[in-house]
Amino acid sequence: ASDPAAGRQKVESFLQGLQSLQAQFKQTLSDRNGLTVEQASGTLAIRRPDRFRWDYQDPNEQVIVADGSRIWLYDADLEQVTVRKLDDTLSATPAMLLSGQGNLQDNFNVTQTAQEGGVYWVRMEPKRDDTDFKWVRLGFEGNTLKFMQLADKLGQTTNLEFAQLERNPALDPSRFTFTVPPGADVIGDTSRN
Amino acid sequence: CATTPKGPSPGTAIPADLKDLDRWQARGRLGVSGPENGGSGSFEWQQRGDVSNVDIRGPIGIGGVHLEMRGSGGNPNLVLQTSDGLKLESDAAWDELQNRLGTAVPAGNLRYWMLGVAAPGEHQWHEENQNGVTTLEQAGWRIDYQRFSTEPGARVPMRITATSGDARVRIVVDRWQLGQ
Repeated sequence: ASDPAAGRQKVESFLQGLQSLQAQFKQTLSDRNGLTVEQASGTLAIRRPDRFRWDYQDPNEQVIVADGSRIWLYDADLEQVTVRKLDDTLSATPAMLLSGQGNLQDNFNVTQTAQEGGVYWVRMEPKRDDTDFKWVRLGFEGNTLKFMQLADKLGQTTNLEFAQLERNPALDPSRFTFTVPPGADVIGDTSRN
Repeated sequence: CATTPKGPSPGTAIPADLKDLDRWQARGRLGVSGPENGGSGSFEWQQRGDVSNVDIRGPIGIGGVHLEMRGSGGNPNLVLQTSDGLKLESDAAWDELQNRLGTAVPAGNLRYWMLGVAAPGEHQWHEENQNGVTTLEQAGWRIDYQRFSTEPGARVPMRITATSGDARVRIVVDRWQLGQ
């Protein structure tokens, strides 16, 4: 039976004492009729609070870095860097869920739990309604996070599968800073505040 | 391993003049920069006659828009839906698109420019220059075609940069499907 309180406890105990995290990921995007549209893979590193780095290696080289005050997005083919402030509208994004320092209650309601095979699923909905996604589901295998799924309001779902997830690895701080590659265009406010 | 971008799938009936092609799909990435801001993301473009359905997504669920355009000219009717729940039509939709992308993207013309053909109306082609770039000028935009697909089927663009004043749209196509 679904038990949101237990679900909240599960997520909070996972986040409890989590200073940093590192994992390989496989990302699948499916459209509103459930058809897989895009597959990508790479590595994820997180240092709480507010620092993360998604390195997409395949099929295209893209990197997303949150350096504590801004989010940098770089696409190698487009030779373009987009930068935006790490403001509160982002606090309710899944990436921030794992790396944000706010506790769960502030940003999310746990609405449902389910045990499917070896995976314990916790479904959460953002409290704000101006976020880009309708819900996020975290899938735990034992005590470790194995899946993260999110559905946006266009009916598309992103499914992330993590592998070799390490809790509290030592991560070089330079991984959470971004230097603009030569020749790339930078868009957005790069002002340091 | 650099996967070669997939050109058009062979064996589909492709009209000699791509302007007459009424069914095609393309998937790739789009980078838009304007005077103030801009953005980049992946796109999925599906064309059926005069109806274009375009999904533009930011990575991992950060922002996404769905565009539906109807009409053949450079200024089709637009319905815009956003991943944070907004739905707008015609002028309001065009304004919101410009606001989100940071510049006025001629989405109506893009439908033709993507295929490497001019949209209906005044235009000027410049043949391939020394570094292999063919250029089209139309509607105040300069469209540089930097790379075409080499696969059999049809010569379709794989890398496009369109500029107008300080607005710039860069498109990299990862996969074409012509005639479907």
